[in-house]
Amino acid sequence: MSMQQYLVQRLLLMIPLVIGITLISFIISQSVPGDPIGAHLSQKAMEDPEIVAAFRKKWGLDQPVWRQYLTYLANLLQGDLGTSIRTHRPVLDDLRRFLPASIELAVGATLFSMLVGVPFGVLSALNHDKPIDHVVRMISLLGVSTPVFWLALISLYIFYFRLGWLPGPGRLNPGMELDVEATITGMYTVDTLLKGDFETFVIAIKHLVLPTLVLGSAALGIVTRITRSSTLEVLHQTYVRTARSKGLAERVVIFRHVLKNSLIPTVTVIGLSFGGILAGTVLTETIFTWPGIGRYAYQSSITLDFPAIMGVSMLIALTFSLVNLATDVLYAFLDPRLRMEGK
Amino acid sequence: MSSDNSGISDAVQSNGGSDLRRRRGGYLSEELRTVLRYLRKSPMSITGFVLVIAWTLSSIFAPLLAPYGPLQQDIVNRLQPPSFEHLLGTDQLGRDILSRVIFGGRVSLPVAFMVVSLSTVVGTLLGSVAGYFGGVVDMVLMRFTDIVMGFPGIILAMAIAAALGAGLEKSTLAVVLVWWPNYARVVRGLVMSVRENEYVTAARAIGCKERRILTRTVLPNCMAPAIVMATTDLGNAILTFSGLSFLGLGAVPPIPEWGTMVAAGVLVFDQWWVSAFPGLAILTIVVGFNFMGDGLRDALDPKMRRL
Repeated sequence: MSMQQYLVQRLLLMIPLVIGITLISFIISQSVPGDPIGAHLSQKAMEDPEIVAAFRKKWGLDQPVWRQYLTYLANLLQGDLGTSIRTHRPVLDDLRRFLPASIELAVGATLFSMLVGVPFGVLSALNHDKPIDHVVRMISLLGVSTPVFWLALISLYIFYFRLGWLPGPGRLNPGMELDVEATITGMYTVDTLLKGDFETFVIAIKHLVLPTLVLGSAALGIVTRITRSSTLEVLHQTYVRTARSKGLAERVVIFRHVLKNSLIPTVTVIGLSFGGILAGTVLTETIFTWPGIGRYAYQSSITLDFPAIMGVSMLIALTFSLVNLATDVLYAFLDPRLRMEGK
Repeated sequence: MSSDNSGISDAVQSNGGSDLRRRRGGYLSEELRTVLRYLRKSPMSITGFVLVIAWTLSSIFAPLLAPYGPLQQDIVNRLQPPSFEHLLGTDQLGRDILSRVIFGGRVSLPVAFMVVSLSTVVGTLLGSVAGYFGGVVDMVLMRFTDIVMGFPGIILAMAIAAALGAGLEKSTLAVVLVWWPNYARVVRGLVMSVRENEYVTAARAIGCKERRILTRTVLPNCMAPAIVMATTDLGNAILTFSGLSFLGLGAVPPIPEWGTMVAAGVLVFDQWWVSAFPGLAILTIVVGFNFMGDGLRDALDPKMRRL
């Protein structure tokens, strides 16, 4: 199969994903006990049948479910994700507004987990079953065992409340929110640099530190573990034994024969850790009052705002699929054996 | 599962291989002895077992261990820092945090156990049928599994929990509904590899019915890896459930649930002990399950053992 065919096939698989997410959301929305509109109308408005009927008509809730679903899909094809019941804005606008903050966070967390996790994993494997290995394995298991929401609170308490080294929740200091509509990319670090506003840039970076570290800590464990096992595997290959037996210096063996081969599979880890990070954004953003899609997902869920839930779920699921596709392609590109097969 | 291999699973789970050793000889108990010998040499898996057993015992004997009742309020002594009367301090209603943390195990452990066992049942059912029969059955079941899996788990769980309304049973159900696809996938893969073995052909040759081959021959041989996965997953289930509770979508106050207790500490941020200790409880039990699962994985994987 050529690369093009493979890509097309993988991209086509995202269609059932979208249908599945919307279908499941519709099924859940039907299982809400009582009247879902109770969450959106006041007690007094609920008692007035005219207001209730008008509300139903406005949101298409007077139609049979299957028709609501088909209408939704038809709109989706035209890029219309519907209107959020909670914010009264188009879901697409909401996502556009909240996504940049999450991208800053997710990229930072991924970088952190890779930059620390890969060296940790290699170090652990090279010292297999020695104290260093045990310590690294313990740290990585601690990382995946720590409740994100607790770590967020404790780190806020220590570094913000007690020591005052880092700022509190939010993307910028209180009272200095940037005008979202006027920003270029929505990512404050990028925008401030583009505008040459170094002062705000430093503030934005400082605000990013804690949530990034908290979010990256769980992924750190995954990255370390996979790097470790892939390095261990290569260490026991015959070509490593050959390299050693022909008298190469250990340093040469490690760098030229082991790492060159073992680090290729860690590319796929980016995708995996990214998945863990996406899951962590909900809790992290909620605690750091970070105006990203994770917090948006939480607020939409508790208000049973299904258009928003579907929109944010599709965004996350598709991003995850695309990142995984990209790492798979990158992997095939980096591994000479797979590259040959592709030709 | 009443088949003859179920002893392995019990033994692996409880680390009590001795009665299996007495009951039966042969290759499998030999294998198990190697596993146990390996586990005994690993300080990390021992730590894991100790933590899990300690938490299990303290949950069972909570009424005897806890110095106060988990719901007993003492408004005059609210938000007291740790002291001799209250080793871990008191919360915003003057309840003893140590007692609530001890009783918290009675919520989290059963919930985690329910989540994992229900997911295992559903996953095994769908996964084994799909993997064994293959073809159209496999395709339909697995596409369905993929679709549920493709939904971002935490959002699906939040949406279901919010739709069903808060409460212990409902939020447990919400977690199960997002959890089973992992098991279906893994069991399917295992069944597909076991299916190719000669003893399955042998069973078919002597005229066993398909259903019997699946339940008596194929499934028991998939159990060991599934148990390793379940062990680590008990920890993950606790993390997910406490996360939901933290967000107000799981256990409802005044139930002493660890995630809910951490959430209560958000409002009294400077009284660090209110959220610090319940969080440590989650951390230690999850570490226990992870260390245990990690040890089991290495012990059951002959390749790792050789290295």
